[in-house]
Amino acid sequence: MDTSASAHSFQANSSETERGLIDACRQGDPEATRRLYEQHKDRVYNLALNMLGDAEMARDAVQFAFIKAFRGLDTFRGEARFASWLYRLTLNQCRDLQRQRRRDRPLVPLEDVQGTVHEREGSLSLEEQRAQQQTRVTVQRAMLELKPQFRSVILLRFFEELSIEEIAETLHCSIGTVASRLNRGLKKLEKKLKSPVMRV
Amino acid sequence: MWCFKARRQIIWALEDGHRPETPSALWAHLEKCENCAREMKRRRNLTAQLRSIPHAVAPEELWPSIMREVSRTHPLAAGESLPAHPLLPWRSFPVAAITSAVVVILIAAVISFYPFRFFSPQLVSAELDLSSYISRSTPGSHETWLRAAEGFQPVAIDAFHRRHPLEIYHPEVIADQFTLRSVRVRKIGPHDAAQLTYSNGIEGLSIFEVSMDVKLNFGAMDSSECEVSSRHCRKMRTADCVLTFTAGETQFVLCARNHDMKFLAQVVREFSERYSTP
Repeated sequence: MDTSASAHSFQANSSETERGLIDACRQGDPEATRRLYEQHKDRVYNLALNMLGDAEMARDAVQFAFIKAFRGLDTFRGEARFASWLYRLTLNQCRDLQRQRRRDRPLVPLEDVQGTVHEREGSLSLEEQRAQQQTRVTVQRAMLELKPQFRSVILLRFFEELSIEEIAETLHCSIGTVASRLNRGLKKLEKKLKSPVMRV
Repeated sequence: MWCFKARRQIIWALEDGHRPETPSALWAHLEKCENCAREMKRRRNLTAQLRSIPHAVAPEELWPSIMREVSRTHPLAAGESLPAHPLLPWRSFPVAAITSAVVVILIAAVISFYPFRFFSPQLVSAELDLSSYISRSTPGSHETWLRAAEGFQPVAIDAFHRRHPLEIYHPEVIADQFTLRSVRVRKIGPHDAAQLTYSNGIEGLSIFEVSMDVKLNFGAMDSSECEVSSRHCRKMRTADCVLTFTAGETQFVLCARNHDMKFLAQVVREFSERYSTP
């Protein structure tokens, strides 16, 4: 996973060219659109995947979010970072898809989601890899049981490495609200991980 | 500072060190209150666990559909146009497009009603194209296989035996507690193939059982001959482990994320022994 330092350098580098890219996209430059997509696609996909716990739905959410973003670039005023805006669109799409899922279909088992990740434990023994993977699956499963309002702030903070201020900007809420949601979310997550069902 | 207040502010102290938002009173409290210090430690462990979850990579196939949708409503720069597709010159002629679609549908309908007037079974290609399922550099082939299999209905074993001549081996549990999750049937030309998916709750693996008459096509994938459990196998050089082997009248394609050869040997042995028994 990226460290927070590399995440911040990524943001700094991308912000230098981002404005130019956005302007070019508004002019209809397909290359700029592609580059803007490439810059953000993995982070947006990760957010959607961890929000929804379903690779198929995450793909839909990413597609909808990017289509909405590119179509609505003229409405992006540039007061917030493009990434914040895109995350907000993605979270909205996830919320809509979750509502739809509650109506239409059951959850896909989390094991089916695991395959899309890059494995990085080449030096670990098979037992250690399995133990680590089991822990991750348990944490991810517990995350999926949290309410979306808590899950989203935890994901943005500890997966996407956004600062509390950036999360507040993304979610259009106050810094105090984000801090409080993070606190409560982590407490709930800890509680879920302690429950006997999760420790299997 | 009261413990109640300290715990509410702990989030600021978690990993950003001495931020201006972190009141010095909190640090002082954490130094003298064991319970809150323990709480802080627990939170640090939890956030470390969260950060250890690996990042996923967005699938490649997303971009074309996004671009298609965007360019439909967002015209490209002045003077530029979408490159004309050499096979779709009627893009700007909806009447021609509609007529062609109707003709294609009619032909498809006629063929589906009378398939054997058009194709004898021998003429239908009996080739299983696996190249599109196998990822050369990134893990995830098994999931690609699962997704591909989702297009085919799972069948009950009894029903499979009643309807299909292919004899398949489908143990409920194989090595390392991998348990049978589904059996799906695929038609490859005039032949049948079965795709079995197993999972042990953490990982999954897929096994194709295909008649010897079906040609396995791996596209441009590199492969090497190898011996697994005294059985001649072919191993694809991909991120996931893909092995093929034959036993009796059936050929097998095993796709697993587990690269432990001891484990793979157990699976190969189990399936081979079943078919070698007279």
